[in-house]
Parts: sequence; C-alpha cells; structure tokens
Amino acid sequence: MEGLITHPHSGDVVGVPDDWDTHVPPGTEALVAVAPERPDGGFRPNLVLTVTDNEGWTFAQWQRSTEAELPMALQDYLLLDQQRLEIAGQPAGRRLAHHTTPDGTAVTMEQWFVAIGDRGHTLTMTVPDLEFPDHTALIEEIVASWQPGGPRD
Amino acid sequence: MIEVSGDVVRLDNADFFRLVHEPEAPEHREALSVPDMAEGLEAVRAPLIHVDVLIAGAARVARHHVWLTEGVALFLLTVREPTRQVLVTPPGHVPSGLARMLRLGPRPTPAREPMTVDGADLEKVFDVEDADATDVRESLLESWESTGAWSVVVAYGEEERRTLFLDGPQGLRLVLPDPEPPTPDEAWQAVPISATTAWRQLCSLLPADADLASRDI
Repeated sequence: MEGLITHPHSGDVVGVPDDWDTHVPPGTEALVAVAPERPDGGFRPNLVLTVTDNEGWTFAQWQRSTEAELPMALQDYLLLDQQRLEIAGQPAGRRLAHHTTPDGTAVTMEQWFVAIGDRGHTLTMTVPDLEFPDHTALIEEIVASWQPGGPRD
Repeated sequence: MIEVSGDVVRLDNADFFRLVHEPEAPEHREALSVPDMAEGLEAVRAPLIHVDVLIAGAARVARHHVWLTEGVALFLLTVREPTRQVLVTPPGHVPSGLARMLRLGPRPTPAREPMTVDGADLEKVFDVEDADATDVRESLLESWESTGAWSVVVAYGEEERRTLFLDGPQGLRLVLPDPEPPTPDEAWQAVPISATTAWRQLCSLLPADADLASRDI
C-alpha cells in the first residue's frame, strides 16, 4: 500500500498510502498524513504522529494527563476502549474514542502511544464514525508499520 | 406537559405522538423552535430507517427509538417512566448516540469461551410487556455472567436486522445465531468481544446503501 515516512524530530517511521498528503504543520512537531480530498469536500481520514517531552513523568502520569486533557480539547469526547500494551518492550497503550470535529463530523480516533526514554510517541488515526469499520484493515496495516523512535534492527 | 430546555425536549409518550402528528398546534411552538425538530418529526412520520433499542437489566427494560431520514436523526429516549427525551442530530451521530445510550466504554477482556444462549430465554429478558419479571431477568442474566442485555433492531425498507449484546463485569459478548445449533431456531452463541468490536458493530448498523447525508460529509 504504502511508502514509509519519517518524523523529522523523533525519527519515528510509519507507512502511509501512497496517495496521502504528508506535511509538518508550521509551529508544530507533528507529522500529519491526510487521505486525498473527496469530491464532496468531506472529512479526510488522517494520521498524526507526535512526540512529547515526558522528562520526570512516568508512563502512567503521562497517560493520566492525556486522558484528562482529551475531553477538554475534543468536542463530545467519548472514551470507548483502552488497553495497556507493550511496544518494542516499552510501556504502551491504545485508546479508542469518538468525538466531533469543529465542522460537526462524528469521528473515531484510534490512538497508540509508547514511552521510550523521556519521550512519549503517539500515533493517532481519525476517520468518520460511519467509515470506521471500512478502515479496520488499513489502520491495522499502518499501526503494524509504525516504528517509534526509528527503524528497529 | 412538554418541557424545552436548550435543544432538549422532555415529554411523555402521548405528548410525543401528538407533537409528531399535530406539529402545528400552538402548544408545540416552543418544541418546534429546537433546531431541526421539524425535520426530525418528519423522520418519525416517514422514516428511511428506524432503530428500536431495548436495554434490559435486572430491574427494568428500557426502550429507545431512533428515526432517520437522509439528513436527520431523531432520538426518543426513555429517561424514566413516563418521561421521554427527544434529541435531533445528524445521521452520522447515531453510532455515538447509541454508544452513550448503551454506556459503551472500556471493558475487561478476559479469555472466555463462547456460550450457548437459548433463544426463548433471550426473548424473556427483552419482554417489555413483562417489565415486572425482575427475578426471571436477574436469574437469566446471571446465568450468562451478565448484568445487562442490549437488542438493537434496524428496520430499513423490507429488511430488519437485529444485533444482540450481553454486558457484564467480565466484558461484552455479541450474540449470534449458533452455526451448529442443536435446535435450529433456538440456539445462539454469545461470543466474547472487546468494546472496540462493539463500537465497530454500532458503526455498521446503518445500512451501507442508505443515502445518508453524513456519509458525504
């Protein structure tokens, strides 16, 4: 499906479909990949890779803080599922949530996060709720390609 | 008596159906000022899709409805008898409305085997006519390691599709027709699922070929 893209600051690598646009929004350290525009101008599924400085925080503190911020940052936020995981031997997790975009689209956000050293790496996929089942395979493929912190030997 | 507070309308069943069929009546003026309410009431009179939700616990069975047209969805929620709450949303907000109704959220997912469930027992749990049968419901739900059961029936044209879930402290189960039933019409399999799978089910409920406006957003 995909070409590999690399986060300019964290070195994270992830595969995205060839026809997705990728960019780093000015003033951010986020790498964004967006599905092609639709003829109807509708919501474009997208991926956001971020890295945060977690110095002095445990994994649990980082995630408690994130979980407290999300309902304030995202309209109609509804946590649907969450899991503790390990990614590359490091404490990690996944959350699934619904929210509403500023233009009123109901979307599903699936997010994976891992702490490596003092940095928190987060991969977020967002698709319209009604299209979430159709994107299951693509999301799995993208997550499987994710190498937080850079290529693994 | 109809109470309007912001975008929320509260009333009883009889008042709701008067509102649906006599929207021009003077006492309905305030309710009709709620954004998209007139379109929502039209969805009840001539629905493209109707969703009938039953939420059974030991104490009671609550029934909720959603009627949809291409551009709007009207939720009729049972708050507590006899009070109903009316909400109007875009069709794309139906899965999240159902998730809130069902209180879907993170659940444990311990390793569990599928369980056979008797079809007649399922009907007893959802029997709204026998709302006082708390002992029967409690005993059946307990035998299924559950504290609640959800039935979501989506009617679209000639088609009607029912999706059943069990919910409990050990997690969720999706109830499916038994692929190898001992008695073909009666046995069901309750398969353990994650909350993510339950969400995927809710997002798949609305017919893919229905021309809903929110699919084009």
